[in-house]
Amino acid sequence: MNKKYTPQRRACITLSLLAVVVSIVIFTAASRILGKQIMYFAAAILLIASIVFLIYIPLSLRKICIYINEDSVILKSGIIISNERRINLEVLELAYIIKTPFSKYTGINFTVLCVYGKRLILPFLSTGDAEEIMNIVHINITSKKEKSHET
Amino acid sequence: MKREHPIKILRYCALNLWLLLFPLLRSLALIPFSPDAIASWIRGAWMDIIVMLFIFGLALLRWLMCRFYLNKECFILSHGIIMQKHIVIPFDKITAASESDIKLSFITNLSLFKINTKAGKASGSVVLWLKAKDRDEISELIPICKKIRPPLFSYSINLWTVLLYSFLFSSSISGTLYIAAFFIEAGNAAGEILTELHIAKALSEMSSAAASVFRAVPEIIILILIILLLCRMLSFIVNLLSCAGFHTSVNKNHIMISAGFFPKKKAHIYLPSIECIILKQGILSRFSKKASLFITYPSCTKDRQALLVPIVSEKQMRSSVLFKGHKSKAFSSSKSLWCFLWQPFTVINIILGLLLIISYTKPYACEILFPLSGIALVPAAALLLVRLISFRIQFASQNDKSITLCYSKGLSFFTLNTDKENIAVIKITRTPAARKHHYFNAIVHIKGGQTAVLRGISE
Repeated sequence: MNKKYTPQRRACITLSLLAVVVSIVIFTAASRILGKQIMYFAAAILLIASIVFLIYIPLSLRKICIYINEDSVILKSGIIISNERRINLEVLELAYIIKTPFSKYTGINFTVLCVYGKRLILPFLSTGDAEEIMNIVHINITSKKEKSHET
Repeated sequence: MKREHPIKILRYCALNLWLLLFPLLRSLALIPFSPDAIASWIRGAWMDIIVMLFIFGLALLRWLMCRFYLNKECFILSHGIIMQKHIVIPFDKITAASESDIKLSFITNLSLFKINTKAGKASGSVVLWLKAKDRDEISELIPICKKIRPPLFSYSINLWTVLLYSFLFSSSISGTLYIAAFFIEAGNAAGEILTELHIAKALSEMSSAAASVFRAVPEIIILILIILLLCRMLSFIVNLLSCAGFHTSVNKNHIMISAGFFPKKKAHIYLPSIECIILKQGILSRFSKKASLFITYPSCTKDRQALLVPIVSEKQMRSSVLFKGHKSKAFSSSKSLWCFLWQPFTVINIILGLLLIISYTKPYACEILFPLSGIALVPAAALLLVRLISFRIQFASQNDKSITLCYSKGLSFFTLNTDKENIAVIKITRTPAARKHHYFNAIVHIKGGQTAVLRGISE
């Protein structure tokens, strides 16, 4: 068994939209509160921030990959500096899904795997993928327990 | 049914009791001893007395409601006034038990008894304040608390060796010396800056209160130094007292560690519950090939591992069965030197850069700050040395069951041995340079909160 999962495209769109909305709100607030000179400065920073968000978010989401094999769950991420987080399925203690409101449409939900007080968060998976991962984890654990009982 | 030592009532009393008690006693001492005076005192302080009695009554009730029972198989603790909580711990599930005896003339036979299970610190730890008689009774029933006769391995160390090694290798001594040097130089620098800036003239024009505050700056720095030194020395003495009379004995199933003059501590640990074995060395102990051996077990905290052997020769330890039979070994890549050195180099460059800027802008301040920056460079230089040694010695090795990681953290070197099952999360990071030269950095999170950082490991 070797499966690969990637975050949903919806999540990328939602996060980018959110970033733009937050930038506009801060810009509007700054224009009301601050003077003109500082406002131009703030506008420039917000413009750069929103561009960074619009480039950084899609790129970083594209780099997120989740692999599940018989022994472990691997989460790969990172644009320039690549990160790889790995946990052993055998020692998994707890797994749960966090769903935000309208997660079916926004794609913002998280699958959390816990081992000895440490957590591995698998971000922005579709509900179907998240439930499939939970099933795989469950089947793996029960089959390993049965094997250990037999031996 | 048994109860804890009555001294626990004072522990249950809120801090407010003491805040109320002392002013009341003082006011009582001031009034003349006559029924009228006492009656008028009661009329004035009745509210305080009622609150105090309420706090004490609540503590007494909590003590009365905390009871424990023993049978042949398990220990049952029930406590709580409104919500009763019953904790049942089977004796064979106890993974560690520690007892510390506090023998003072007025608190005789008090013993703090802590029971740990695999459930961890959240629900698996129980601390009891017991009479010595009750403690002995519980100890007899707990399998891991039974006396080890004859031990498979035993280790003792005398006080003078501990004293000598603590003086030579203790971080508290080197830290004390470092802080002393830093504060003396800071005091001198503050004095010289006050003179250089021609503050004396300004001081004569200031109000007397402001001038005395300015003049006191070097003295305040020296005073802080003295307080810090006293605290450091006190902690050093406390550490010595808690390590004196150290004795470890190991059996097939459990370990017994006893140490300390006051309080006298004894820990019993179930051998299969041990999670990690850690060999720790400072810079000086690294050069003298000595190390301290620690173990971790469920419910022991990240910062307080159990010290198994305070001083052991590195050669003796490495040749032991713990680190044998490891087939695949991974060392740090020869091209990953920068991974080790970038942090100390950055700190050194920042300090030297600041000194250069100050020397151009304020030449008189540079002369004064030069010794201070020298002292600030010492930890960065020590870190550089540690990282260079770490580059040479760092490795990760494994066999079918266990894994050994040798790495440096801060100014210490660690060799950690644990079962593969105990690894929680492995985080692998690759920079573009690392991808090019085929090496990676790994952070290994281990059960119980231990974290090992391996830099520049070759792929």
